[in-house]
Amino acid sequence: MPVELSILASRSRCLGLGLLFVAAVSSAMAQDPPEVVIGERLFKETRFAQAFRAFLDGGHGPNEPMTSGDLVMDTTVTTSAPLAGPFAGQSMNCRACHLVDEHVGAAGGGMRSYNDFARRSPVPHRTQDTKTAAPRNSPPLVNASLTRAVGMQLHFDAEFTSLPDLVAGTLTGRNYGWLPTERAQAVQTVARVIREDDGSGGLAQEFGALPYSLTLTGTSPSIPPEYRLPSQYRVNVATASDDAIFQAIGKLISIYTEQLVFSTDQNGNFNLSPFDVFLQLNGLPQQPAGSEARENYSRRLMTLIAAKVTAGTLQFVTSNPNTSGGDFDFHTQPFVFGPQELNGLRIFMREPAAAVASPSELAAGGTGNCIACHSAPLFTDFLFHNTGTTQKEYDAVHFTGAFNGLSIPALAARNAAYNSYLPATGTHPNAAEPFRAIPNSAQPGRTDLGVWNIFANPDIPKPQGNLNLIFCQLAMKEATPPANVITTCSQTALLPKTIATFKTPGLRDLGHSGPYMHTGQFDALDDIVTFYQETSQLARAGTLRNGARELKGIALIGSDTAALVAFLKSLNEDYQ
Amino acid sequence: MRTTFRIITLAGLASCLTGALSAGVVTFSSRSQFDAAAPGLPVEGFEAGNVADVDFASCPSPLNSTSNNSCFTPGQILAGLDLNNGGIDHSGAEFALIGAGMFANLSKMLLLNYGDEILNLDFGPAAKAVGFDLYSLLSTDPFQVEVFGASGSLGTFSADPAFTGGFFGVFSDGEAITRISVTPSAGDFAGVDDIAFGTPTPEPGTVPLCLFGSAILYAITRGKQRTAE
Repeated sequence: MPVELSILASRSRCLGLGLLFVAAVSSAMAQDPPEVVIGERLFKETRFAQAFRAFLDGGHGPNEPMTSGDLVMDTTVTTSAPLAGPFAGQSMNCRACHLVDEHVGAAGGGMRSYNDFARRSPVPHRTQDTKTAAPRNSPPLVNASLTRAVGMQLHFDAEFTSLPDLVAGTLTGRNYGWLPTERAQAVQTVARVIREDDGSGGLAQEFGALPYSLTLTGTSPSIPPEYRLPSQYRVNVATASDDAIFQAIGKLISIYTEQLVFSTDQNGNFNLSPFDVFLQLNGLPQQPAGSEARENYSRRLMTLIAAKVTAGTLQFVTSNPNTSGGDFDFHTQPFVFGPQELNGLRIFMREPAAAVASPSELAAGGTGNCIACHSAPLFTDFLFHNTGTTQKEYDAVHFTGAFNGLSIPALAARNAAYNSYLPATGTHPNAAEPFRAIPNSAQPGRTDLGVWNIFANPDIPKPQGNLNLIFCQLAMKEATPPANVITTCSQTALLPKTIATFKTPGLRDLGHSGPYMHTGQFDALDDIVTFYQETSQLARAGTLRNGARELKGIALIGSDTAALVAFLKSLNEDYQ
Repeated sequence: MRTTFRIITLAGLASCLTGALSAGVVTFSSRSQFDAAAPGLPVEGFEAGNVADVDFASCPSPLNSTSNNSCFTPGQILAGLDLNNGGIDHSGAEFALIGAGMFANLSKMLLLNYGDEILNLDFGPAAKAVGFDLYSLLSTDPFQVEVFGASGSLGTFSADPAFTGGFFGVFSDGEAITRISVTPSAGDFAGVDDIAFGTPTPEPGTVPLCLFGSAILYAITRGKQRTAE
């Protein structure tokens, strides 16, 4: 079922408008091209995981329902009581960790922007390891695939440089239950399901009840137009190799994921949040002009707003122009952008006079310096920073100062002892990956160092060029002149700068993506503002290990929190 | 009308013998367009340089076909090209030879090791056409490129660098190019790769084709003249 349709379906359930649902079916079907529709089916497919392979190995066929599903699918984990799993009785799929409307209306549930409710997403059980959850919080997929200045870096730690690579890594990875040595089995399983699927399953019924072999081969005149793939997406299932089928699947899921973006108008302007409506209402620019840097656009925006305030012409938003009642459909907050939100916007965008906030700035507060990494309109720089999240979590599990005392090897020592330090891969299946782990009190030394695991990792070559460039740029900004490329940007010099760095998340529709941070450690936006107050102090005091330099410019006081949170909530929208 | 045709014919004939119709300096931001205008030039891509993939090496300035250092041995850089930073001394570490994949570059390329310095490309003999990939390290803000001939500056242009290599090309229909100076945006580092330089020669069929076209044009003119008479 296409995304738009699934959301409309949930809305119709909420409102009891069954007829609207029926109308939406044909409308949504008409909107989504076949590659997106088929991509969504594959995104939801539950038969690619290791648990289903075990079922097949028990003598069953791909079209038989599992006799007992993977236990991890029974529930949707939340920060409180678990919810009933929408794919209970089956095995892992993409959607289990990238939910949308499955729990709308459920107590403790709600809409999601293609993420889940867990602090860290549960993973299938395997007897060969002790893992019960992914090391990180499931990120929203909406807006995750937008193009960026320094190449595509996907996942919190930049492990993947393209969506097809990410999809391939996921379908053959631990989140689907596969161990590092089982890649070939994973590919084989995907290919077998595709070849033998007869279109009789429940998921297939939502997509025209067509066998995968028919839709992916794509040449039969019996395929309805809405499911007929353009030639570039087809694969002749009867003759193609397992790898060729696997690649075709990865391509289609990528296409589906790529089109998950927040709503924009015909000019490419985001248009559904109170913030966006505020800009539109006041005739303010909604995106950078030409090649204007996003930071400069953000600064210009604030200047224009200030001029309107001075002229007395600024208008506030009091209701949602996109719904009949003027409210949100999927958020309980009022749809407003008023003085409180504007004050929050000012704090969000305000920069310190120098790189480090001055004593007077610290006393006055009101300087968020958020623009440094979260400039409008995307509210992310897609780069990698250490905000102190890892240190806070590690110190909370062990003791204050524990992270600063943690022994982290330099490049030569790290790469010389791959199995002791780096993540498990097909080449090093027995690697201990202590630095891509969830901290626990029984095992000191285990934590998540983010990009440090990927940077200069010989088993993961693709991201290296862009990571070298990104961290070289970062090092150059921090270096005392005269910096030079040779001494500043060697991988040996740069590796320490990757410690505990993670990709900057976007801030749109945060109301549908908690809990927050890669650790999932914060339930509320207020907690995050307080966290930044704390870590900026640590950064200035020099006790935040490899902390982002931008933190030193933050000067927030307690009374700033309400306004900042109000602004962040004004970025919520009814994603459809 | 008759006079006009004669002028066009003579101009076409002249262009066959001298090259492009317009005299002066023309710039290009696309390699394919540059190659079409100045085909067949030798290209220096620094691929003979001594640096491993995903690594870099420091090299002294200047770099040319006689260089004999840890980066290049004699003959590994094309004759007629000299790259330098204007004589600023960094103890033999004026350049960084960047291995493929070290940054966003797919093949080896040459970057100034220090920011805010001017990268000079000197040509001897002087070249009619020069085109190269233009790299930056810190931002994609425009660089300034000044083109020189023996008499002085032939023009200053803005060029967009890229982390993956932008392109700047120049064709001089008049005075030949002796130097190109690249000034990066504030704080940034200038880098180059795949430098095409020299004086393009017309392809074998070009001159006869031009003469044939001019002859047809002349015949049309004569025909119209006779009709009018």
